Amino acid sequence: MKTTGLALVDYAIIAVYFLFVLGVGWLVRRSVHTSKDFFEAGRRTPAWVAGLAFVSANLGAQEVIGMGASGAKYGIATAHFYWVGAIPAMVFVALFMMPFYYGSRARSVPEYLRLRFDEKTRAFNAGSFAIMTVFSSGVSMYAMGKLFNLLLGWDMDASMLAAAGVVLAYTTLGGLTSAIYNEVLQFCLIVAGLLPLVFLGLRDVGGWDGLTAKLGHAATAQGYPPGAYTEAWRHLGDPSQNPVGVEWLGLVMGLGFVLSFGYWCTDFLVVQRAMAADSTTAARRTPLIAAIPKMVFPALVILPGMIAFALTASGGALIPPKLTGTLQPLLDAHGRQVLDYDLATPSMLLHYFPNGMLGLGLTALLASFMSGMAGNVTAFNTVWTYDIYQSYIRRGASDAHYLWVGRAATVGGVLLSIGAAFVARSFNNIMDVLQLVFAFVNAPLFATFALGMFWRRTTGHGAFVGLVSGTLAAAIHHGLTLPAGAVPGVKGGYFGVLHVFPSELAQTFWTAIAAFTTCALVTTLVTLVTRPRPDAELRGLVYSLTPRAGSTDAQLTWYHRPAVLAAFVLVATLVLNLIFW
Amino acid sequence: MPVDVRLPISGLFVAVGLLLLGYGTGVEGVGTSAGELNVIWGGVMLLFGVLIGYYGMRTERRSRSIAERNATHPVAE
Repeated sequence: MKTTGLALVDYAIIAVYFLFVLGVGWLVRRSVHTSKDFFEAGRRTPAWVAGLAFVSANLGAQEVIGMGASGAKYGIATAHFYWVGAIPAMVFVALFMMPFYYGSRARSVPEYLRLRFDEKTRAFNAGSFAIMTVFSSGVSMYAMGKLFNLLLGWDMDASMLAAAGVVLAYTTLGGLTSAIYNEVLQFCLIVAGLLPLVFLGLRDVGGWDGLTAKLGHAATAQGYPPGAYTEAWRHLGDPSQNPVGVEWLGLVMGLGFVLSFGYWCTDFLVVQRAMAADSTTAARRTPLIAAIPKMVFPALVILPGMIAFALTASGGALIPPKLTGTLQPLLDAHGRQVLDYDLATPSMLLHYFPNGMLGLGLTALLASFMSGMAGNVTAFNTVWTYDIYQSYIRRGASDAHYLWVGRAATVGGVLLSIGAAFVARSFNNIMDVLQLVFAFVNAPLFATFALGMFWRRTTGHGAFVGLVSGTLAAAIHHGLTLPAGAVPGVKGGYFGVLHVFPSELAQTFWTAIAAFTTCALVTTLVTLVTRPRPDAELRGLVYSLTPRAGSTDAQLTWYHRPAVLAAFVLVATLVLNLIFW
Repeated sequence: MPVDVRLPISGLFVAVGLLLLGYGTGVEGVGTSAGELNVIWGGVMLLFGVLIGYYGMRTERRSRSIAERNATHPVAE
């Protein structure tokens, strides 16, 4: 792919952005006096700020680039990650789980597990989360460095280190407050950078009707029905009739329930933003406020990918071919060129944006990488300091000491991420490995939390054994299955191949279902043969033993009430599903 | 919160908006499509920056006056 030259104005925009995010860190540092200020933003964050940070922390490289790639590869069905996956899970965590996270006095998700269950369950979650978050941060940094090297010819190491250095500076100075402020700023910048791209792309393809027509031809050329790329539900009756290769049951249960609830309800990276809110009501409103932009984000991140594919399929060369190690175009089993879908959105930026706007678009990409990285780093330093260092290495030290440890953990976390990024360079399939780790760790976790919060009988032994079993079940299911066209290895089948799924996504969804089901069953069985804790110890931690969080909602104006906001979000999402049926 | 978050957002959008406007009118020229795009979007960003900055300043002033009032007349517990 040809690299592109930037003008002085593009570099100026990037420099202004760096100055502002560093300036925010500098401004915020004066308000950080205690570990609570550093790790929890003092629990002073207004709901709308926490809500935008909630959605922005998730809006990393994997989202912006990955959803563009999926939009190009799978079409509008990619929106299921939002409309079936994220939105219902965000509503659930807001209404039913935030009262426990916020009201339990837990400073982190692993700490909630200690309060509800026991130390070993906390330790398992804290350890796996810390590894996962550093790994994720490093892989994102590697992906960013590789992208800017490919697009602009920038030195990969230099761009990784520059971005990491800026994130390190502002998160060390201002902790979670600084990360949250910058996440809101980065959210606005991402919208500003991608919105004109959508306008220009849609104008070029002839609007939604023109896009539908072009993608219709592309679909029939591959043996799918004409609406396969532009109708989200109609072709989910049969996996062979849609590019995703799944049927509706696997999609709803695997993606909509297990994977999405597992991420949005239990991943401390996003939950931490809601836990920084200034009240229980604000914490409950945070995911609901986040759900509003989340629901329309398919237009910003998926549509560019769909447009890029439509233009490529109708003769344009927008998405370049994927290259082999010897720089030859990669061919599939039918001899057709495989497109490098990861370059769909970046290719759109280079195609439509002149200098000036290009600087803005690239800054938006940089902002997405950095907000994701900062989210991982702040979650890591909190889990390290509270759940590992304070719990197992040095208890009872002064608050100033833990504040110092938090800053040191920030430096350590960024250095480990850089290390992970360099390791990632050695592996072709590092993104696949990361997705696998997420599925193995997150998939069973929701079963543990759901049983813990809503069944007071659930014991610590049940939770721990269930969690380990669920993770093993994920590994076994993955090891005995393979997506079509793949070879045994990181894609699965390493224990032998009992079943071949039509696509990787289908395999991932059913691996997640296997993990969740195993965890739920084993947790239940072990719980029934072990002793539960007395009810008095579980007040504020379990639904049936906690006063309802909504008892004070009547005092709020109607549009501030979480239940009203939740109803609006669910109805709006349903309407979107119907419009794009 | 140390300062209303809308203020740094405002600053960034105003700065970037001015850069795009300046580049679009000066270097590219408004007659070109590249110039036109930079001018239009630069203007949109500038306007957004000014509006969000106005609301941020208003909230800051209100918070400061409440804080001053509480300092001189502490709220009874």
